[in-house]
Amino acid sequence: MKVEQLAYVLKCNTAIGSSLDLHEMLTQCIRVFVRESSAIYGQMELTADAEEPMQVSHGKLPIGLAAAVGNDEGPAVQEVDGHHVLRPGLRSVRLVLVFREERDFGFYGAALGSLANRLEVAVEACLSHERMARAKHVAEHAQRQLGRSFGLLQAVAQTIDLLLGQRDYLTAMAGGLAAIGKATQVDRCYLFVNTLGADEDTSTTSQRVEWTSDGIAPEIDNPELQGVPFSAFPEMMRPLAQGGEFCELVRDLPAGGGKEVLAAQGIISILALPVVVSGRFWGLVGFDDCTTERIWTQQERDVLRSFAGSLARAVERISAEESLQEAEEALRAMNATLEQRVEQRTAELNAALDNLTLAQEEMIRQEKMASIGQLVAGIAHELNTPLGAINASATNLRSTLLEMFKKKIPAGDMDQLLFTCSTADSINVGQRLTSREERTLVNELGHHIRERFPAVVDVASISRQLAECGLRPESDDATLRALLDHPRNEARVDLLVHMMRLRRAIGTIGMGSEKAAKVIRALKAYLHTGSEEMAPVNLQQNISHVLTLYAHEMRKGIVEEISVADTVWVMGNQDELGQVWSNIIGNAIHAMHYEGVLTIRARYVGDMVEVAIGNNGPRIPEANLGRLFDLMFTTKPLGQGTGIGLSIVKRVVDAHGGAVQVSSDDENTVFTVTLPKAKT
Amino acid sequence: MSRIPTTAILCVDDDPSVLDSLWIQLERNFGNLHLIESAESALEGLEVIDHLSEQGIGVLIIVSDWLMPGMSGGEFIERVKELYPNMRTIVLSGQADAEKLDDLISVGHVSSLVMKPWDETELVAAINNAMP
Repeated sequence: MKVEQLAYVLKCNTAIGSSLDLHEMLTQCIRVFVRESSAIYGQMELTADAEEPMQVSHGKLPIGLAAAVGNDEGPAVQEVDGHHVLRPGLRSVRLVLVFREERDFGFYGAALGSLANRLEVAVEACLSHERMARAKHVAEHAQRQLGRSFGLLQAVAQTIDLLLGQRDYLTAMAGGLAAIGKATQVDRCYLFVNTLGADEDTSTTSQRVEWTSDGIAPEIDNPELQGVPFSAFPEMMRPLAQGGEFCELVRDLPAGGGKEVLAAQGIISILALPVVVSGRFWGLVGFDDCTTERIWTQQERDVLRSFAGSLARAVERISAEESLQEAEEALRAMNATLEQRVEQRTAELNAALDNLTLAQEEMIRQEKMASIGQLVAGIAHELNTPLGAINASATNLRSTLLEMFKKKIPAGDMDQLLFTCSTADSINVGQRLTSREERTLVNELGHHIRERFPAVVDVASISRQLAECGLRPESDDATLRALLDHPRNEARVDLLVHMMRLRRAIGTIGMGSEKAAKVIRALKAYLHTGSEEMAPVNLQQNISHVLTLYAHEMRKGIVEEISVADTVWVMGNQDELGQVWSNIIGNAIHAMHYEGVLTIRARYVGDMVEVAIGNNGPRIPEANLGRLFDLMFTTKPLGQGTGIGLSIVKRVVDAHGGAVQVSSDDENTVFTVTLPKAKT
Repeated sequence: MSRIPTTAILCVDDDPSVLDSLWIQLERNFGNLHLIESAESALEGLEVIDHLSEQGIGVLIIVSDWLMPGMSGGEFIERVKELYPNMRTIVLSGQADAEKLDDLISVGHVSSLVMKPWDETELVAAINNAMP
């Protein structure tokens, strides 16, 4: 080997091992090859296992020569778009040297063969080095990434811990955002809370918590970040409202839609995540970078998203706790006032009960008045009849006395006056005779007088007068003799007639007064609204008062069969019981249409008194029997029945600890009232 | 010797006191001209009228109560009017069923109505007015 050649190989060797950078080594190599071989152009291409074919060249390849270079496969250099490039698909180390003149490559061939081996090793070393460097870089990156992720996770865990421990999520979030901000190395992170409205204009969001890194201006006091309508940041709020995220570089945002506001805060990149509480878009957490265009990794976004979820759960829990606490406080307050409320409610109920009782009493009183109203015409008749008799008798007294005074009683005839007085007094005033009986009596007296007292002149007149006085031919023989045997017999009979009329008038006045008084007593007893006490009540008296009031109605055609002993006493309130009889008797009279038989029977049954009031009016339909005592149930035409009467009967009887029942068939309808008997 | 009247006035009332005091009044006022007869019920009244007419005595006027057990005053008057269309009637009542009474007054079956308690002068005037 020539010295020249040896030096060349050594230089190449040196070049080959001169660098671990493959490109640099190849460049050095081709430079040495071109210089040492006096070539005008050299090019080296390596395809080895490099990812990209690597080629280096030195010198300038004249046009025209390019086509000459190559082998059987065609030209190694092609011209593409005015550049000379090596044919694709070359493998291994290829070396292209271009010379001006023909050269013998004998030596170079052998030298290059060994160089190729050498180069192969060098390339291998370079590639290994590169792989190592890359692996190291990857490892370092991964470590950094891991450290950041770990920090982030730790910060999130810390925040969740704070949220769990704190009632006040704002305080918890202040600590949490600081930890997360530091871990993610953002410049600003914050929490916004929404106030949801009907649409984007009425829904607003306000910044509540913020953390900023050193040197970054806080925006917590910026009024523009309070009550911001969603419509001011549609680009951000819309995806968040849908549950998505907002992760953008500010420069990429379209104009309007909040870009300017973000830019004004110096924000370069932003990540915002929704906080969804109980299915509602409650708020958002955001992370700003003001110095770098950050690319958030999927992993980071996932962690932060889960953090937003944890915040939402915490808010839900806190609000649930608040509700629970409020409920507990309300419960405590309620417990405290419960007793008071119970007392108050009891008082209210008592008042209501009192009112109800008053209303019922009022209803009973009104029903009583209403029934009297219906009876009042009849009661007037019952009073007017005896009053008529009294009045007529009073005038009769006066007229008869005047007539007597006009009679001329001869002096010394005082015995006559005294006689008639004693005679009139001795005559038994019995029942009034019917006209038939009177006619018979007049006839009998006529016969008697003609037979026994032939001295009597006007037999017909004297007979009539004696009959009026109620004298009978056989039983009153002594009186008749005293009257008729006297020479002034006509005057004596005439005086006796007058005396008897006086006596009858006085009797009528007495009886009439008693009758009127009885009606008044019954009315007073019935209307009596005094005592509400229970006391022994004489049943016969109690019922007879009521019958007196109904006397007029009964007179129209009711036959009464009363079988109540005056020894029967019940325990009760006489006013209320009077109303019971009044309603049952009044109903019976109506049911019979004022014609029929009214029966009242009373008997003791154990400790009770059973009063059966029957009538032979029409049968009560089966369907109505059960409803008879219901309030407002009536079959009478409008204006005639209130539907209150029998319900009062039931109410009163029940209140007396008794019972009332009704049975009805084709013959009879019977109301049976049982009442406790009075203890004697 | 007094003459036996051939005409009569009949009083009908279910209350004996009323009937007796009424009878005394009428006897005193009309007794010397007419027989004063009395009946405690409408049925007895009809019987008296029959009996008197058998004897040739005509009842001129009936003074009747309105409400009575059995046959009421209204029914009684209607019956009487059927049998004796010329008989005059006066109703003496404490409380009368106005509607039925108005009907009877309007058809002339009832000459007048006197309310209980009554005034003797008023009753006597009513009877005198009703006299044929």
